[in-house]
Order: sequence, then structure tokens, then C-alpha cells
Amino acid sequence: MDEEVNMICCACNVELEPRKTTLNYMGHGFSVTLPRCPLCGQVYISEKLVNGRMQEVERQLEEK
Amino acid sequence: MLDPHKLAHDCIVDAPAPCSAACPIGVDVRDVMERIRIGSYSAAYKAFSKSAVFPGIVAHICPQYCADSCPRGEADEAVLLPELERFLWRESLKETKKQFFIPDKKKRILVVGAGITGMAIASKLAQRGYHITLAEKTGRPGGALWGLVDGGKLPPEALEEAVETLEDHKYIDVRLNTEIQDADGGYSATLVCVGPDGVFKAPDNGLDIFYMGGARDPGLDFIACIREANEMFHIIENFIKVGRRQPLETRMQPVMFRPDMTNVQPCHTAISGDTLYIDAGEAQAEAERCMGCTCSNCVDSCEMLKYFKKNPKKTIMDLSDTINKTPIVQKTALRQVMSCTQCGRCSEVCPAGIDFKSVCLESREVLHGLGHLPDSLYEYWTRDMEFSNAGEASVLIAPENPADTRYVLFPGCQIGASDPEYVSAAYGWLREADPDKSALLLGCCGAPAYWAGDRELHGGALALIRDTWEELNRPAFIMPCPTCVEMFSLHLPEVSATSLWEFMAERLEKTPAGPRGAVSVFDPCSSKYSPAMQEAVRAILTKLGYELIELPRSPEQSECCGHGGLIYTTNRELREKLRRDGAGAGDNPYVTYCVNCRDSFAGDGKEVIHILDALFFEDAGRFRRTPPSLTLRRDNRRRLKSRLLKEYRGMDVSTPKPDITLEVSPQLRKTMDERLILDDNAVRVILSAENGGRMVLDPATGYYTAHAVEGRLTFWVVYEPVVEGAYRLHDAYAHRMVIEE
Repeated sequence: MDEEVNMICCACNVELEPRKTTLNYMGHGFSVTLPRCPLCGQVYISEKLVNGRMQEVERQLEEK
Repeated sequence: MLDPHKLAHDCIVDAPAPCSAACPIGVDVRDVMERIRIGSYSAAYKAFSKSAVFPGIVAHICPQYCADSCPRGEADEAVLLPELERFLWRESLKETKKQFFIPDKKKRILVVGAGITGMAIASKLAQRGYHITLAEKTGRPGGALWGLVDGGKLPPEALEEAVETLEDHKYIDVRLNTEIQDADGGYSATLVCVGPDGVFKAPDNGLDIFYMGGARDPGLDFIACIREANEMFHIIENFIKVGRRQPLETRMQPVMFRPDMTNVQPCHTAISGDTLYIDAGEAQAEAERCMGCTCSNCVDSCEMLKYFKKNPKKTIMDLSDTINKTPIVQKTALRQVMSCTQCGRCSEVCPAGIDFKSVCLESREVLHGLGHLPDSLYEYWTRDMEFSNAGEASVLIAPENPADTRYVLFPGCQIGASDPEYVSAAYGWLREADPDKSALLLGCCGAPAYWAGDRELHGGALALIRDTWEELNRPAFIMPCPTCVEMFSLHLPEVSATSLWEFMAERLEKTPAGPRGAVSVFDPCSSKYSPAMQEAVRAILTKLGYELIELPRSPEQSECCGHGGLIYTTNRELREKLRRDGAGAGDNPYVTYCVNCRDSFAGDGKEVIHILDALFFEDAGRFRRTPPSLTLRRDNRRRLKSRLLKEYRGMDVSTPKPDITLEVSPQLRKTMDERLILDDNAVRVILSAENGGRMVLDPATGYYTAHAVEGRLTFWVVYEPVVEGAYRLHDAYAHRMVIEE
């Protein structure tokens, strides 16, 4: 994922790093690489991704 | 019970045109005309030949049975089909006839008599590969057709051409000067085509003997004989394959479609009455006059059907697939069925009586029941309905003794959301008329749940209303919203319900004030079921001094403004088109009586008021009042409740102060409305983030981003603290996918 990976986790004060994350919708699971805090696991997803690819996939699954 | 297959069968979109229905041999005239128009003459000739068997003969002798059925006759003259048929025949002479391979069926059929009937059936059966012995007692085939040749009605070339196709055919053995008067057992079938005067003695149990044409019915004319050959062809083949004789079925009168000719301009034919052969230019021009009569009533009246570009039959079949989905078949029509605004125009105009509006609604119910309706398509509005019916927004103001209630004002959920003053003013007016007997019930009529196909939720909303109605000893409901009126008439018929407009029209005095200018009434879609309501609105506005300029579309044809049927959440593009079209239908400012129409058009920049503005807020600025955001629509309802409780119950129920305040730019406000995100959602995210310290920081901007799950959605906000307890929002977005954290 080409998202900004220089976001900082406020709880742990460290930079987020790309990590494999599982997303679920309508019984389907997806493994996606997203910026996450290496210590507490907090995730960051940008607006671009949510309203872009994620929305597209949600729509496709809804029409199956 | 939703039966897509029956509906697809009822739909007449590909029913025969009036000309084909009148044609004894059922020529597909629409098809022929289309091909002539694009210059494919041989393809047109082929289409014609399918029904005609001997197109050259038919083209010259057909008396044009279709003439009286052609709707063009109402505007100018019927399309001259025989002239076109003769033109196609002459074109065909220029081409060499192709012979295709025909597999040998190896069965032998005897045809007695080579008049029109015998020739036609021999030709059709030989084309299937049966070996035909065509026995003719005279020295030449043709029978009574020679009489037409001698009479100058049929050119000999046309008859000779037909005879040649028989004589040259691989599977036809023409035996002239051969008289056969009784059955010969060596054939799979014997077809007696000896004409009305011919002689043939059939044995008593001659199951394999078929009398055809004039031999069976002396009243048949030449074209009818060809029809007979076309119809008997299947019966004979079936007999040979299976050994059973099916009866000749009476031809069912097909459902026809006749186009509405009121606005068709006359376009007279350029061909003079006694022309035998026309040229290509004349043929083209004449074919252009053909209207290709096909029913498109529903598509013509519905932007949704136009948007999805499918004919109704295809939509119904896709619906069938969607309802009965399997792992392989997708929910093709899902978005389509959810894009229906439920305006009802389709059902009003369908000549086959298909209630397409109900088809869409019932499909939603089926899908919902099966768990196949994704909640993203309706959840915002069912949540909104729950908000209207829940503690924060719902209220009942009743007289001292509730059982004394005579009238209860039921404004519906969105009027107060648009402007709390609307409800205050309307209820104030009602109380003036009958102070001790007028109640006010704030809640939702259930339309969102109904449109979402959620029977259970819908039933719950109806139960709430019914319970209050009983509690108040069954008063009359007075309702400003046409959709509420429609919902009540469908689902709460026991409740006596009237529109506020009919109620008011009777009681309103003419105001002494001067004229107020010219406006156009925009009739909301559901008002089409209540002409009395439409009239009452106009009576009120006229009394108030408005000059009414009617919009081009008549009130019975009222359309959607871009809000109905949940389209706000399901199809943005279509919604905006409807809004644009509706707003652009007239140049004058609009007055409407559904607050959603009002807010929808105001959102498009159109000058528009609700009739309540005309009644209670006579201020020209109201024409330009911007529609409230989704967040404000909720806050308005909360405020309205507080105000009503204070005024009528003396209760001081102040709306609770929010835990934090948000600063939202107008641009972001618009974005949040599109994304269906409320301030409440953003506040909850920020609160949970700040309390737990769970957020991320973008060092480049200094903005924080946090997220939280609420129901089926995960909300994200980008924000920065301003002062203690106040935050500036920079972005807000949401998704349904669940993150495994």
C-alpha cells in the first residue's frame, strides 16, 4: 500500500509501519497491508483508501 | 406473491405490432421495416419470406389486411406494406438464390394437389428434409393461382419462380398429370390439398390423412391457405415424429400495443395509389413512416428504467435472478430495484396492468427476508426513522383528557427536521380551530422501513401509531405529508386520515392582502393518488393570492423530486438527474407540499417554498432558504420536542449540552451529508479517542486521526483541538468492512 507511513501512534509515540491486517465484510476476509503501530497494533486507513478501493470492494460484495 | 415469470409473460414489450396481429400469416412487419430502413433488403426479404413461403406471390396478391390496423391511418395513411414487399421481391431477383444443406429425414410424404396449399406445405416440409411426392392432376402446378395470372393480378414470373423452387428441390418429386383419389399406404402422411372442388376418398380410420386448405375449408382465401400451411406444418411434423395428432389450435388474439397518436405529426406517403413497383428511395421513405409500434410506456415515464437501459421484461428476468440468486447467478438487478423512487408512474401507464412499483417493493421484501439486501442501501433511513420514533424526537401533545381528542396532527418526520417552526405554526393553527380537542403526534409513518422491505420494522412503526390512535380514542389524523397519506391509506386503512390541505381548504378564509406573484405548484409523487389533495392545495394558494402557472406535466403524472424510495442512499447520479429535471420543469418559483421536495429543489438552487411558508411565513426570503444538513435535521427535531413540551406541558426539558463542540466548514458539512455522517458520529469517535489516547498524529499537518466502531460502521475523523472541549474537523469518512484489530 502506498499510503503515508510516517503517521505517529499517539499512545506509544512511535511511527506506524506496514503490517498485514485482516478486513472482513459479508463473510469474506481480505488480507491487506496497512500502516500499524508496531507496539499496540493501532491501524490507520486513509480517506483515499476507504472511499476508493474499499468502497469498490464493498459494493462488489453487496451485489454478489 | 411475486411471480417474475408470470409478469414477464404479461409484459407486452415484444408483443406483435397491430399490423402483425392483423396479418393472417403473422409477418413480423417491425423486423422487415427495420431492415429496410438500414438498407438490408435481402435480410428484410428473408424476414418476410419466413411467414410468406412464396414471397413473390404474396407480395402481389395480398389485399393488405394490415391497412386498417396501422395507427398511421389516424395521422395520415397506413404504411404501404404490399408496395414494400413487391420492392423487396424485385431486389431479390438480382441475387442468386443460395442453397443450404438439408439433412435427410428419410420419411416420405404424399401431397395431393399442387395448388397454393399443396405448394406451400410441400416447400416447407422439403426444407426440413422430408421426401415429398407432389402429385398434380393437371399439367402444371399452381391451381387457382393461374386464374390470378390470367386476370392480370399476379405476374407469371412470380408464379413460375415458385414452381421452379419446387421442381428444382432435391427432396420434391413433382408428378404432373397424376390424379390420386384415395390413400396410398406407403407414406408417413398424406396431405390432401385438392382445393374446394377436388375429390379424394379417405379411409375410415385414416389418421395419417390431413385435409388442408380449400379441401378442408372452402372459405379460405389464398393468404389463409398459406397460413394453414404454416400452422399445419408443426402438427404434421409432430405426427410423423410422435404418432399423435394435435388439433389445430384456434389462434389466440395476442395482446396488442397501440401507440398514442395524439402528438404525431402527419407524414403522408409519397407513393401514389396505383404504383406497382417503387424504387429504393421511395421504399426507404415509406419504411421511415413506420413507427415500429412497441410498448415503451413504462420506460418513457421512468428515469430509473432509462438509466439502466433495459426493457421491462429484461428487468423482470434480472429481478428473478436477483431474488433467486445462486453462487453463480449474481444479484444483477439489486441496484436497480433499490433505485426505484416508488413514484408509481410506471404502474399508472402499463397497458398490461403490471404494477411495476409493487414489483420493486416486493422484491425488496423478498431480498430483505432472505438476508440478501445489504444494509448500506437503507440503514441510514431506518436509523432516522428510529430516531423519529425514539425518546429524543417523538412526542405526543394531547388534551387534558386524551379520549376527547378529535383531531391529531401528524406532520411526519421531516417537516420538523426541515424547520421546527413549520410544526409549531401548523399545530398552533389547528389548536385555534379546536383548542381542547387537538393533539399533536411527532413520529414516523414507517415509509423508510416499508421501502427497505423490512416487514418487521415497518410493522413496529405502524403499531406505535395504532396504539396512540387507540389511546386517544380513535381521532381523525390530519397530515401535511402526501407520502404519510399514502402510507396510511395502504397500511392503516382503519384510521380516518385526511390531508391537512383538504382540511384547511374548507376552513380558510380568503385573505384581504394583495396578489403575491406567479408560482408553479410542484405536485409530490405520492399526491397522484389523491386528486382532491392536489385541488385543495391549489384552492389554498389561490385564496392566498398566488397566480398559479401549471407545469407542463399534469398532476396525475406527478414525478419524483429526487428523494423518494430511499434513492438518496442508493443512486446519487439518478437522484441528481431527477432533481435537475424537476427543478427545470418550470421557470417560476415553486410551491410544493412535501418538505422533501422543497429541500431537494432548494439544494439545486431552485427558488421554492413549502405551502406552510405561504400560509405562515410570508417572507420572500423563504424561497431561498437553504436545506438543512443531516445533522441539523436531527437537532431541529430535538429542539422542536423541547419547545413543544415547554409550551404545552410547561416542562423545561432543555436539550442536553454536547460533551464537545465541533467546528465544521460548509464544504466538509456537504461532504458529510453525502457520506451520511452526522456530527454525533464524529463526536463519539473523538470522545473515545481522547479518553483512551488512541489516535494517530500526522506530523506534517499536526492533525489527529481516530476511528471507532458504531453499529455496522467504522467511522474515521481527522481533527485538531482548538480550545478545551472544542475541535475543528478536517475530514470524516466511514466504511463497513470490519478491521480485525
